[in-house]
Amino acid sequence: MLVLILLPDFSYSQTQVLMGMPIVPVPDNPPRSTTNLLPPNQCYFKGKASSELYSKLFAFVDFGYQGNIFLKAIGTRDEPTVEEIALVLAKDSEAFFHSAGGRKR
Amino acid sequence: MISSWILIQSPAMFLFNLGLKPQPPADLVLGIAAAGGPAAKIALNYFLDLFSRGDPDYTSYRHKSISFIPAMHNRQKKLLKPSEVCSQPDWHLLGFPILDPTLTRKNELIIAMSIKGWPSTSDLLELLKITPPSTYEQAHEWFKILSQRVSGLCNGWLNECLY
Repeated sequence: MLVLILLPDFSYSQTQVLMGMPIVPVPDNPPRSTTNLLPPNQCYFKGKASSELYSKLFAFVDFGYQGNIFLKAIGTRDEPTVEEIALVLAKDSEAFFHSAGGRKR
Repeated sequence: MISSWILIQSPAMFLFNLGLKPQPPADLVLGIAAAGGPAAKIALNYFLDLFSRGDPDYTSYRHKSISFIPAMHNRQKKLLKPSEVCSQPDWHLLGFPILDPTLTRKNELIIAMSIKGWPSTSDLLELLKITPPSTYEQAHEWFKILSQRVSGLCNGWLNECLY
């Protein structure tokens, strides 16, 4: 669902810059006690889509109600699209296979 | 003879005609406020008193180039220009200078010097580009404050969309 949440003070070009700026700290996967920074448009909100499988392939975040409002305005979404999942599969199908638990799943 | 009689009736006017000023020029007062020290607070209060009376010398736009605003930046008290300070205290968490929280006539100063509530969008972009939040806790704090710059939609709708 497309939600029109606006950043009225930021221009369109500034919003586009924010969307692709690595400002969201996400833990390494697998965790190595370090933190990566990802752009908001490469992050997704924790929820229904953040299953064990997808959490190994995508970055799911939750910065509280108000923090999430800001992230939603600059590109963070609820779940990856089918195209994005397909891209990850195509990029490294073996990793996807192991993340899915191998043959059994 | 008439002029002598007038001078006797208006000694003050006589002195004004000789050059006595009714109040010090605003630049002089702001210079004292910008110098810091014990007189600075008195000078600032005097400036605000004259500003509120609408004195043209005190309401001039040129005063905005003088660093006389009591501010707090990185836990240190400083005197800055009106354009360099935010009136909303939360922005100090992102490293921006804010009005000194101990200031007694804060609202008057905000109105008189048109002090903005928050940093400009270009300053925010620069901050996020150079020093993005490095930890989850810091990001949680920053994003909460930055959400103030998002347009106001009803809480119910947002809640439905986000969760």
